Amino acid sequence: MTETLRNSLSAMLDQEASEFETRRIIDSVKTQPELKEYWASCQLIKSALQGEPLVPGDLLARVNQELDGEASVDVAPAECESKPQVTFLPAREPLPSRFGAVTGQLALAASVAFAVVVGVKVVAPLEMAAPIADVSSESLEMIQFQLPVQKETVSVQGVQSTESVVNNETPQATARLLTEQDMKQMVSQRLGSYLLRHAENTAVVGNSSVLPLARVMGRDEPIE
Amino acid sequence: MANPVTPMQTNEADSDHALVDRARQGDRHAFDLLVLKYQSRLALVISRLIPNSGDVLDVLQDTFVKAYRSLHTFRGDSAFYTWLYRIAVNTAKNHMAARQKEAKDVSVDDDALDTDRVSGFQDLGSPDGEASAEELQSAILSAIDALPEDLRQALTLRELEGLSYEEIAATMKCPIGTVRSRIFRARDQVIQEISSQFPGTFLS
Repeated sequence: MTETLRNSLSAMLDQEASEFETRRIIDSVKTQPELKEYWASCQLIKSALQGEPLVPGDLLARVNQELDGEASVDVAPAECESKPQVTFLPAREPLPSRFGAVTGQLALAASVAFAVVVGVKVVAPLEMAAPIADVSSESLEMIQFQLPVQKETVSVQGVQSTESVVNNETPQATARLLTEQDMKQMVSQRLGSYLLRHAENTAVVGNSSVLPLARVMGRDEPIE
Repeated sequence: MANPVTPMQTNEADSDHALVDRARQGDRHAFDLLVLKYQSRLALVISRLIPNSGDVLDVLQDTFVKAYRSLHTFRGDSAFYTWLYRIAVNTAKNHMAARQKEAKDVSVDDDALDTDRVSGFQDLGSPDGEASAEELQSAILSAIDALPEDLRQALTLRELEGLSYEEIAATMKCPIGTVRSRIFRARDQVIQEISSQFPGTFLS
């Protein structure tokens, strides 16, 4: 223990050491235990002057012993094996059963959602394709219902050729618009029935029925 | 360049926080320095709350163990001693509450056992021990009195008045480096004197 280190330690005791000195002291204490003893001796002088009680030297040893004992308990395999968590967790049957119930509900909801998607992807195109394919055989009422609108638009343009083009293309376009609306209504009705059925099923299973039921009750308007 | 924060405040925070930072990283030597630094100060606080001197040491030990376990919660907003002080007071209060509960629960037959236990705690502060502490304190004060005037004045201004090196330098009209050197030499001479009178008293 050099005089320089003791001098730095004395200054550190008075909170007057520089950051570098503080770092050097802390590093040196690991390899020079006598620095810790010198530190304790300086504190003893301070305590004697200020009338503080003189603490027995074994207090630090007692603190370290308790902390060391605590650390050794943490790493002891026998202690780890005897921890209640290890024996308690396998005995907890409700956890897997509840997990299974939740998983089943999620699977049911996923299957319903999948059915709806399939219904939209498979059923709707078939029903949509038929009116488009049979547009010539569609009732004239539907076509004529839209034609005046298109004619008005064309007449504003004032071009005869355009009118003829519109006359050729308007029936298909009008039919496509009408069938899309019908398709949306059909999907809305089917989706509503699916959700109602799903709500009835989940009401039997548990609390999760609240959300789908709320969704069903809130669907007064068809899907846009 | 004037510093808005006094050197003492800055360095106090830096010194303790540096030790705390190291202790948080698992450096037990750094925590040892904190224990040695504050053990007497906290013992005085606890002794005012707990009458039994044997219990004071137990509470002091619990305080430092709790502090080490809770070092990660120290954010550094306040001084480390302030944080440590709160732990000591809470530990002492809990200890006293537990003692009072034990006193209510104890039966007449258990009184003898409790008396034995109290006498056992008192053995930690036996008359021999108290005499040696008083003797040691007297010897330390005598060694300080025997110091040269400049060393004694610098040491007492620091330890009794709590002045910073800058303030001591202004009082003694000398450079700060001289103050630092005088305080160091004063401590060094007292330690050498006491070590010769009481071998093994100091840790060295």
